Amino acid sequence: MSPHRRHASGSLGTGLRFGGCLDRYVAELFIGSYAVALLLVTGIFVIINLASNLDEYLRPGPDGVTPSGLLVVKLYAYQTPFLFLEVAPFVTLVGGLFTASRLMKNREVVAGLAAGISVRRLLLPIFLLGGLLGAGMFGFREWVAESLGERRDALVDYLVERRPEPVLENLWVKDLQGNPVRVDAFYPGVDGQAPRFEGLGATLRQGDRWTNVVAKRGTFDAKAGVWRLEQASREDVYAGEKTREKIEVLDGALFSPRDLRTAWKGRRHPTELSFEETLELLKRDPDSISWQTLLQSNLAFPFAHLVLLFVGLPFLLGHARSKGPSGGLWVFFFCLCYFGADFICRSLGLQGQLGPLMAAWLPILFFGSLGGVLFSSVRT
Amino acid sequence: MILQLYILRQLTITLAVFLGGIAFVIFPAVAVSAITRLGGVNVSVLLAYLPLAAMDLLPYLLPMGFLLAITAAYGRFAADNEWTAMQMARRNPYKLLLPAIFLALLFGAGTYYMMSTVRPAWKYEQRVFARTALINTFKDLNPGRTEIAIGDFYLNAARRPTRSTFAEVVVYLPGETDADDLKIVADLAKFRFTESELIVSFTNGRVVAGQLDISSEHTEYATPLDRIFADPRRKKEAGKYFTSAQLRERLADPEVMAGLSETRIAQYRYELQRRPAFACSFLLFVLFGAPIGLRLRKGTRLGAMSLAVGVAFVYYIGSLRLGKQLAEVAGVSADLAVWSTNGVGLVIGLVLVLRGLRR
Repeated sequence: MSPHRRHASGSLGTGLRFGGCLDRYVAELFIGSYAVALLLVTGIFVIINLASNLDEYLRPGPDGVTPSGLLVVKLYAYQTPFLFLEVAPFVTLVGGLFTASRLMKNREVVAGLAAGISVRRLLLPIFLLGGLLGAGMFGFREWVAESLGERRDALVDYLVERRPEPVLENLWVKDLQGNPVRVDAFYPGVDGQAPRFEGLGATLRQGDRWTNVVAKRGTFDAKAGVWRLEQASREDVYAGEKTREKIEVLDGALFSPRDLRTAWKGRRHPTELSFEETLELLKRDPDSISWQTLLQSNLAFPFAHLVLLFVGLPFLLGHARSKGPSGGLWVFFFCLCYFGADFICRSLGLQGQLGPLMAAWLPILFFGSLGGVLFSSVRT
Repeated sequence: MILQLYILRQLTITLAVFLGGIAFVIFPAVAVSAITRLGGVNVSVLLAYLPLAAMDLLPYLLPMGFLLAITAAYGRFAADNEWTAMQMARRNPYKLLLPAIFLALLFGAGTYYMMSTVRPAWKYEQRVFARTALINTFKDLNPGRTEIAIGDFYLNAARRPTRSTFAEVVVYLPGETDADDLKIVADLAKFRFTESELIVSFTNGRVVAGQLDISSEHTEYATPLDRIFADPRRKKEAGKYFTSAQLRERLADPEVMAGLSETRIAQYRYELQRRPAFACSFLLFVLFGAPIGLRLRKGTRLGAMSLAVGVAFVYYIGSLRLGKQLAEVAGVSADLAVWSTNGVGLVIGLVLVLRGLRR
């Protein structure tokens, strides 16, 4: 067998075994850079968030007592994963840039090229890990939203409002037929307490009839799956008081404690909704353009990791060491363009001026294609 | 001079990269905050709002970007052995900090001007803009939108026969107190606006909650816009909405002082001192950033920058808390207490520079 044919039997025609020494070396560099980039980027975010809010969190309450600093530390322990999710693609990009920069600085790219290994093959571990991180972000978002969100919101409520237990006020939730239900105050229940509400007003349209259900208080019975009501009644809106009847129980299918919390979150922190929460909101309001757009955005966002790598790395690779800073400027410019386009498309989608699919996926597809072209044109 | 200009040029380029990088990192947070605050407004309005929202973060972003740039630039000089070459050429290492100090003075002056003159007006303008944007969006809702929730106001309709009409509608109108809130269902609801009021015309309406006489088939109800959209003038007494010149005027005017609480006066005094103290952080960050960058040249620059972020963290926490603690617990005058973090930072920074640059 000729030497040329022997070499062609390796991975991607370079003779380089996938998962070999070089791949592991590049992967280790990336993991190390990613870890430090994570501290750096998330740290910047935490500092800015802290600087903007610390005074509010630590101001004395009406009783003159200042909350303990440990509570703020605890809050930021819950808050940091949410901050990280906002910047996760940047962290991947910064990690990738520093890895590539280090390879170039140590002339390892040149050595690789001299050995017949293309730049694309050399950086393959970065892209694979970037893709894995993007996929992982989806699951991470689901976990964070379910497990940390409620605890974080309870702490914020205490630090800002100084209430002994968290209260979600002026909630509007839709039942499965799309009828709006108002709850003046919802207490999610802490330390094993049952969730309860105050001030219910549900105006339900069934055919031509409007029915109004009001209740002063309600407590959720988890075993039976119903709300136990106090001072509650139901009446036909147009027929008036003569049709009023007392009721003591409200079916939990109308809305559950989870539905109330999800509805509140949809108004206050729509970008923190998990995929499952967005699906629940969509089930109750299938025509809502906002929920449809957010659902697609949840699916598209993890791809931003790969898109930024494809767009960012070619600028670094195409520049000699002394021109590194100008390459860096181009990276940030293009990445800013990507996020600008993502922001504009998402806003147009939330307004209904762009379809949800287009709004969520257009920036990914456009910049992903651009990144592909840029990367394929890197000299190697 | 050539060397100083070279260092200045490198610092400027690195600064541009880092400020661009920080802007690019912060952009999603600002955008998300804009979408959350002004959900449903036009893209052009959102884009116009972004600079106003970003202005809030500039006093924290600029010094941090400056610190990272100083750390990275001097770290690069050391890593490329340029620092060694400069020292071998018997250049005074402290004079090599002059370009950084020049930039620090420039940025410090700019930041002070921004915080004392520009930002207070923009902060108020931000609230006015948000309110106006929401009102205009309400006046010109996108076709097909059948649910609106703004503050305590809520509307849900089955469909929209015309741009300003909603069919099979549930409307919740906030009153002056909770007891005055109204909930009305109607076959049709039509909205129009005057300068200060929202007027709703109901066809075949019924009051579900609250007190309102709806006896005829067509009823009109007017509610002040201030009840739906928070009036920004209500909070305009806070120190952050006044320029430094206005704060000094207010503190010097006996009539105004007589009408202010002790807390408000203390807040004004604190705000007056906080602005120049904050602007001086650039100089402090030169004293921290250069030695950190030079010392950590052997490792990755990423590590040096992470340490720099830690320094910024400690500084911001210190500037927010130490001053107040000294004023409240130790009885130090608020004016002096604001500068305490800078004082401590100056001492530590000078020690770092003396030890770091001498090597």
